[in-house]
Amino acid sequence: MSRFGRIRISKTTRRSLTGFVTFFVVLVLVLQGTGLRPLFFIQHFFVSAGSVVGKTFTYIRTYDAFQQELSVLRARVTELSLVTIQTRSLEEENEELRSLIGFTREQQSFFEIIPAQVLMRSFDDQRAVFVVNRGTADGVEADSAVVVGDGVLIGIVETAHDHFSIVRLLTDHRSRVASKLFSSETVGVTEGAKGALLHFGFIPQHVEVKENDLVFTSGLEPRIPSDLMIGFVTVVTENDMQPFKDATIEPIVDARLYRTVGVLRIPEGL
Amino acid sequence: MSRLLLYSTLFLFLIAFETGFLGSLPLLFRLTPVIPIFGIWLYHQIPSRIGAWYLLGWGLWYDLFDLSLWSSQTVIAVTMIGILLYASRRVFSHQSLYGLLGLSVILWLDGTLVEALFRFFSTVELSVVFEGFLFERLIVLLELLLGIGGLFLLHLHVKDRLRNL
Repeated sequence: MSRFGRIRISKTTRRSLTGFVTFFVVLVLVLQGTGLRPLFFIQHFFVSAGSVVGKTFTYIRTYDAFQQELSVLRARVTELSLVTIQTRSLEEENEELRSLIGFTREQQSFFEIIPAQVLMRSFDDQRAVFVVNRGTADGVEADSAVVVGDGVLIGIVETAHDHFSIVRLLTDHRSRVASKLFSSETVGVTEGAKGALLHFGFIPQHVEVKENDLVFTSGLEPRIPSDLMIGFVTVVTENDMQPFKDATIEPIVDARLYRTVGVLRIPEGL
Repeated sequence: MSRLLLYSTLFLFLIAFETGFLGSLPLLFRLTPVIPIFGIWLYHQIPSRIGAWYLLGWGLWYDLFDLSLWSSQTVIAVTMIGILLYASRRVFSHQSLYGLLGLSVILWLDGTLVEALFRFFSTVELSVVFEGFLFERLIVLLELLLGIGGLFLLHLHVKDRLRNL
C-alpha cells in the first residue's frame, strides 16, 4: 500500500468521533420531533428556578431604588387615573359609535393568544433573545407579537421552527417596532438601544413630548395589533439644529423575569 | 455506550443549567461559561477528550438555537478546541493549577478576540456593538478562572480522600 494511501486514525479518536456524531444525529432527530418534550421540561424547570432567583436578586439589589420609584409611581398612578377616566368616557363614546356602524367588540379583537413557556435565554445584552416551546405546529408565525401581562409587548418572533420559536426582545439592538406616543399620537419607530433601554426617534420638533409619556404599538405592522404597551419616556433629547428630536424609552417590564409569555396570532380564515 | 449516555446526559444537564437557570439571572451570573469551565477542566486535568467535544457541542447548541451573536459560537468553540489540543499537551502542565489557569486565560483571549472580530465586521454601529463588551469579557474571565480553579481543587481533594480510604 502506498504511504499516501490511507490516513490512520487512532481507535480512541474513531470511537469519540462515532460517539459524537451519534449524539448529534440523535439530538437533531429529537429536535425535529415530539422527543423535545423531556428536554423542554428540564429547560423550563431551570428557567423557572432562575426566574425566581433572578427576581429575588433584583429585589435585594434595587430595594432603595424601589422606595424612590414607589413615590414616582404613586404620582404616575394619579396621572394615569385621570387618563383612565378620560379613556373610559372615550370608550363609551366609541362603543356607541361601533353599535351605530354594526361592529361588535369580539369581531374587532381578532388576535388569539398562544401561551408559551420560555426555555432558554441568551447570555449577552447585545443579543436579547429567548427560545419558547411553541412553533409553527402550534400556529406561531414569524413576526408575531409576544406579550406578557395585560398586553405589554416584550418582543417579536424572529424565527418559528416546528416545535419551538426564537423570540427577539425589544431591547435587542436589531428590534424595530412601529409605535406611537400616547399623548400626541405621534407615530414613529421604537428600536433597541444600548443596554435595557429603547429609542424612539424622528419626533417632529413641534410635538411636545414629556417624561412619563406612554408608548404603544401603532398597529402598522400586519402581525402586531395596535395599543400594546411598550414603555414610557424617560429622557427627551432635543437639538434645535435638527428637524427631529429623540426620546429614550424604558420598557414597562423586565422581559427576563418572565417564564410564560403569549404569542399573538391571527386565526385562520381571517 | 453507557459512558456516552452518561456524558451526553451530563452535557444536556449542564447546557440546560447554563441557558435556562443562569440565563435568567442578573448579568454577573448570566455570563458564567459553565460548559467551557467543565470542558477545559475535563480535557486538561482528567484528561478526557470529552472536554473538547463538550466545547464543540456548546458552540453548536448556541448556534442551533440562535442564542449567540451572528452564529459566532461554533467558530469560537472550534478555535478554542484547536488551542486546547495543542497547548494542553505541549505548553501547560497537567499537574499544576497555574498551568490550568494559564491555559484558561489563553482560551479566554482567543474567545474574546474571535468575538471582537465578529462584532467589528458586523453591520451594526461599533459604539453599540462594543457597548460593555470589555466589562462582560472580564466578568467571563473571572468566572472562568474561579470555576476552573474550584474544580481543580475539588478534584484534588476528592482524590486525596479516596486515596486515604
